[in-house]
Amino acid sequence: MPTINTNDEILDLNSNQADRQKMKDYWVKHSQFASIQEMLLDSNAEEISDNELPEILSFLPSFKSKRVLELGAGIGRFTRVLAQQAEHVVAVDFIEKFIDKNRELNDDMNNIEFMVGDATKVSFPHQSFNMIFSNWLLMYLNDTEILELIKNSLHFLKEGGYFFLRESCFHASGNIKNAQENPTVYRSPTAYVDFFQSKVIEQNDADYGFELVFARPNRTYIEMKNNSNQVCFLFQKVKLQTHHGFKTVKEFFDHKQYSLKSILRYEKIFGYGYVSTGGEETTDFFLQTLELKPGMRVLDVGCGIGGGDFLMSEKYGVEVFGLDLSSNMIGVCWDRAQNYKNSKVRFEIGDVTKHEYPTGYFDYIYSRDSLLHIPNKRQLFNKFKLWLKPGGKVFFSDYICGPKPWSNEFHVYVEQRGYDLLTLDEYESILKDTDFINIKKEDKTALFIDYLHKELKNFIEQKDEFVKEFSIQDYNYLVDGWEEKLVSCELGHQKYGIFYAEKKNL
Amino acid sequence: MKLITHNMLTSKILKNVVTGYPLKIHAVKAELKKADFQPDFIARMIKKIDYKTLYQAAETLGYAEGMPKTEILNEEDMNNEETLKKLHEVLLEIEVIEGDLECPETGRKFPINNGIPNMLVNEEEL
Repeated sequence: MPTINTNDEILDLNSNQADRQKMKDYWVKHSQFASIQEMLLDSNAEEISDNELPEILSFLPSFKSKRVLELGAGIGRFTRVLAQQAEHVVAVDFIEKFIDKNRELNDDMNNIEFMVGDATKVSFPHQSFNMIFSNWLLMYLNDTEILELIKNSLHFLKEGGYFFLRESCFHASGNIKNAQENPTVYRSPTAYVDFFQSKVIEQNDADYGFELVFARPNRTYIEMKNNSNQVCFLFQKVKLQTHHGFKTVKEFFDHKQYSLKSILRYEKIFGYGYVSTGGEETTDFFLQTLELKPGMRVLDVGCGIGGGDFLMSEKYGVEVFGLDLSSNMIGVCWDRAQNYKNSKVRFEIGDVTKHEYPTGYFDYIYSRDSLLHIPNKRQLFNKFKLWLKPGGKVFFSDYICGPKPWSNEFHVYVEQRGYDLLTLDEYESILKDTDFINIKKEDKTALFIDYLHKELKNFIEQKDEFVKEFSIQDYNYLVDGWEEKLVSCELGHQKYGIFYAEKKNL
Repeated sequence: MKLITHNMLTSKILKNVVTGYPLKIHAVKAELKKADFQPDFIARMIKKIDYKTLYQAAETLGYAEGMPKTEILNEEDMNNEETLKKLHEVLLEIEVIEGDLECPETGRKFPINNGIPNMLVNEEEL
């Protein structure tokens, strides 16, 4: 995890000034023609731009009749489309030549105001915008400037307002050679998530902060350049409230069940790369039954730390989109993906119930022990159906339950974790209701119990090593949890099922 | 620069500046560009702007005649079609093409060229 210094006092003016001058020199040099090739630093710029513009727009929350602030507006690749829906757009860039060009191109729109200014230093009244839009801006700022910008943005935005950003992460993606003087900071996407979630401001006696809505790679760059390092982020300004001692639900999620430490803790019991039952062995076994073929596109819902996705892509040549709500989990995936350079795996943070993909985008939707977190399965399967190609397939394993009444312990277990458990037959009937065909279901509780025993046995054997790395409390927590699951299985409350279904062909 | 923009600009970022608002307008060249009148838009907008600042800005440019001379607009003004038309002109049709904006506290000037205000500041000024 990158560390962030949120202490404004250590702001080093000299280095800031040097950074800024370097960046300005760079852009003045690359603003000679105020052209799209310069903005994208890529000679295929126009083709890329035509494809990605609609995609980026599709990521934005509705901004019809809203007030938009566009930071780093450049020559206006986005300014015009923003202004076509927005009530009013303020377009800011610190290169005069770019803003002049932007105005020249968009002068016929009378709801755009142009301004030469530095994104980190412009000042607007509090709560005056519904959305802040930026494309390739924060990657040119240093950490101190980013934190300043985030703080200012929290002030400028209304409650519920959004900040959209798109950045090049990990490494450069353009094909114009500029390595020498390029002032860009290619950060891990985790760094941006951490920056945004680290700032809190006080406004009208309440605390406000940014909550992550999603972080996802740009599909256009994936499809045209097999590059998944162009990451789009959407944050929402929310009033911070207390959820179990945490300010937001997501924080609760990220800190409690799936905090980074507990993820690594789970990994010790499930095996490297896995946080679900049976680890690589069951994954490998299930994958063999799926008839995956090279070139297929798979969505993994609740992909965890991605072990199954790397395996799937490397062994079967499929392209995988791994989606998880936990930024800690995806943070691990992003880091590890750098070690699997040849696999076609993309990772995104997002809530599957709010996330969107194009219609008919996937050949397969795959999920392991994750749907239990989602209350409205009907709605979920309807989304799956939309995202699948005709004839596309679904495979998932999940915790299921036996008929009620349950023991008190099992009630508490389910409630504490916020699980929504169905029986084998209930799952089947929802798949039927949502128009899936060739449905197959199988109770795999026996296999599940086998693995619980195996995992527990292995785990107990490495007790000393584990306790040294974590703690005896962590050790006991996991052993208790596994024993609890075994008891629930014994009582017939907890079960394990696998499901297969197909979307109808046209 | 339209007056709707002027209405939200400040020079607060400058060292030792407390409010930096409103910025004084020095116009060398201003134009009136016709724009479609949308009464709903103006009615919504007018609630979000600082009316006193708008009035002063219009006065500086010689366009205040016909605007209600008050600090805060009342309900009646906001529903009056003639008033809204006037406010439409002031907010969206008047454009300062050349000139500058002056910080009320330090006198620092921000140039307006080709209708675009330049709010860039140097590190030494922060």
